[in-house]
Amino acid sequence: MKRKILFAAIALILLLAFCFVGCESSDEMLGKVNNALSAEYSAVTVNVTAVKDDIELNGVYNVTFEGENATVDYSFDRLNELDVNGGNPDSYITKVTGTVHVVDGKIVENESAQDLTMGELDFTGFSFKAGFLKDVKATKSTLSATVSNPQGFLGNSEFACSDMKTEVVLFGDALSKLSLAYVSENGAQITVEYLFTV
Amino acid sequence: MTQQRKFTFALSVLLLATLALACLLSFTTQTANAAPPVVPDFDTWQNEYTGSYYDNLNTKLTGTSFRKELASLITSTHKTLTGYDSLGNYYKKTDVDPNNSNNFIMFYTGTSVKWTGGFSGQINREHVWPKNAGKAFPEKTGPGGDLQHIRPCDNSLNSTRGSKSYDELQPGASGVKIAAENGSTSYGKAPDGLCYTNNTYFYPAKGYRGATARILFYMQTRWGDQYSLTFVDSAGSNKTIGKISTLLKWHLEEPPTDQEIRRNDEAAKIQGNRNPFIDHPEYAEMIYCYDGNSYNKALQNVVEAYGSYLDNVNPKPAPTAITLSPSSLSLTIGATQTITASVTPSDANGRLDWKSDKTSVATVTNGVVKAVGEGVAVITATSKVNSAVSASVTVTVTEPSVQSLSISPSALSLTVGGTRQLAVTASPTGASNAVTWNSSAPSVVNVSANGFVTAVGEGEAIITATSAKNSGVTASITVKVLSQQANTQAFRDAMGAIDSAKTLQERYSALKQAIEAYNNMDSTAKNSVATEYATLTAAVNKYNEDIAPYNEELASASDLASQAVALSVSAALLAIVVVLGKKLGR
Repeated sequence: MKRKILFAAIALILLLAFCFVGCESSDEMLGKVNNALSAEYSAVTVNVTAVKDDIELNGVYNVTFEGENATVDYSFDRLNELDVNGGNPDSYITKVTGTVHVVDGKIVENESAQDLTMGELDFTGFSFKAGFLKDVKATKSTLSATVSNPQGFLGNSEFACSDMKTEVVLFGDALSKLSLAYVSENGAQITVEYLFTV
Repeated sequence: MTQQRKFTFALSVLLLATLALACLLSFTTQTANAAPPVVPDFDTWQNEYTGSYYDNLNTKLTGTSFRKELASLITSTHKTLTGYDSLGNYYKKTDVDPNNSNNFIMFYTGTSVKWTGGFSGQINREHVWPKNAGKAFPEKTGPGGDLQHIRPCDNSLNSTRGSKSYDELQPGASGVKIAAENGSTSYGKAPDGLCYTNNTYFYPAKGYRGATARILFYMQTRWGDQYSLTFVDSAGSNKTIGKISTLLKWHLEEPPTDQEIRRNDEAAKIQGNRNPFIDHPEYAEMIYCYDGNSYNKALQNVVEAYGSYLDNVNPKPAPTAITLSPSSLSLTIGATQTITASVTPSDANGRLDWKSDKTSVATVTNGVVKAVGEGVAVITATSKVNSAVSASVTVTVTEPSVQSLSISPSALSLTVGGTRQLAVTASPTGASNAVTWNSSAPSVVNVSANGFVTAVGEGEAIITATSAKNSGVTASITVKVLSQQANTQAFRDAMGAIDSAKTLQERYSALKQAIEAYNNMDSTAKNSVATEYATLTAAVNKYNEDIAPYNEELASASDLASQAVALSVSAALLAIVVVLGKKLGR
């Protein structure tokens, strides 16, 4: 009997020790992630995948920064339209690639400096607040959660989706990886993954 | 008439004449001749606004992003919405003649007119952005009563101007006439002291052209979203007004006058918000030169020609040196790289002109170098404010060696007499596409020196491209030459495959084959499949409709990804927003 009690006490102590070492309070981790979102990074790679009816399209956007300037190397899939007059590509999917520079707030593409259509920015950026998340699991360097309020989380009251989940990996105080997965209004499985370089 | 009656009569006449003269003089002083404000010189004008109203704006933004911030500021601080019917009371503060407190200064001309307490006389209220009988916005509330917008104006001039847009007019040109003010066409010194008009445009007097532009910039920023008010570079109508390139020119030629500055202060005391284009004229070019509209290039040209407030307002010292990094570049054809420039001292004006001495080798735009052809080019950056200060970078452009070739299309079917231009692409990017062409069976398919194939006889031939720069690198395609009969059958086979296709890839392949077979037919064969061709066209349209949602899913997800990251991480990431918005056709 005494041994059982002793074993139970040791197990409890070990469990508490593990939690102390490996666990992080959710609120603290949310704060760290929000701070990390505001940090400066030398590069970010964004991988986007959209899967619908077994058709998978991918986009990769590599952004490197130098002060206020940025270079964006992009590559994304596009299903090709057909032209009855012929001249159609061999494959039904084409990969569109290119490079765009941002210099002094202006977009430079090819040989002409132009501010390509900016449009309205409806998103205010990620907001890792407890009120927008549930089932939050946090360690000292990771966080995963179900996004219960995508509109609040993204800062866009008109955004619609279902089953949004997010995962974050920190390296020190900086972001290493941030991923989103959700189902779009039209049933496409979407994953967005950001890989950060300090 | 007796002597006494003659005297009385003369006295009466004299009295009447005196009264008439008094009335005339009274009328003249009631409407003093136009005295437009002194227009400052653009090159010496300096911004004197020192308030904190704009302190929280991110002035590194441009285009619609900056406009959005500015709109938010001047909307949220617009605490009192003045009404059209109450403007007379407010004009006593904003538009009073500083030399005669009983008079208001008329907009467009600068004439001083007595305020009689109402708008039934000479003075009317001018909607500088036309209300268009309420179609553009409410006539008397919101923008229709905004003190920063509506100006006291001569009644007849207000009527003459109507809803016209603004542009420069040549006095004496056909159809151009002076816009009369209170019945007079000599209220100011010709030509600049007068307003002109034709059927389409209105041209204010000098001293009010820049002010007109700044009112319209204010209107579009403050009320543009709510009422869909936009600029055009032509005559506007309903909710549009032009010509914006002329307006920007006036804005640059006529910096804010003391009259405008004083009025802006007074209006702000009353309604809370300010006209930012008076306090910071540079905001106009920051927004409208880069807001993504078709007039952007024209406006940039105007700034280039007439000067930029960004150079004149709060002028920075001219640089004494420019440093470019990297100091030299080696690129392969097709590659791009940004040259970063820094100026000494660090707070000097950093605006630079970039030039390449050999655009056939390398081009440069805003420091971004693109390698175009083999050779050496010198890229020079020169200070816009001190042309004696410059720096250069040598760019060496080489052609990468050809590693592989690919031919498009990758397979081909023709009928006898049919032709096709083949395209060859060398890898890596920038490698020479120069090749020699060869046909394995010239009696079946002939190929010219530039890759133009002609089907000569039925059968098959292999067309080979060999790199002219690396003879070990080749690519080939098989060309089948069919009879018209066989080709028509191939068309019908492909049409059948369309019906049985289960995936998008299968549909695409079958449709493509059917299209190619149809385009190989002679007119007789085409006539024989006219009905099937209509079916093919419908199937192609259906396919194009069906794939759109898939592309849209990736575009939407990418858009979300870019915007969310952009605002979270760095303003420079807005590049992704722009790239994706443009490239994904959204």
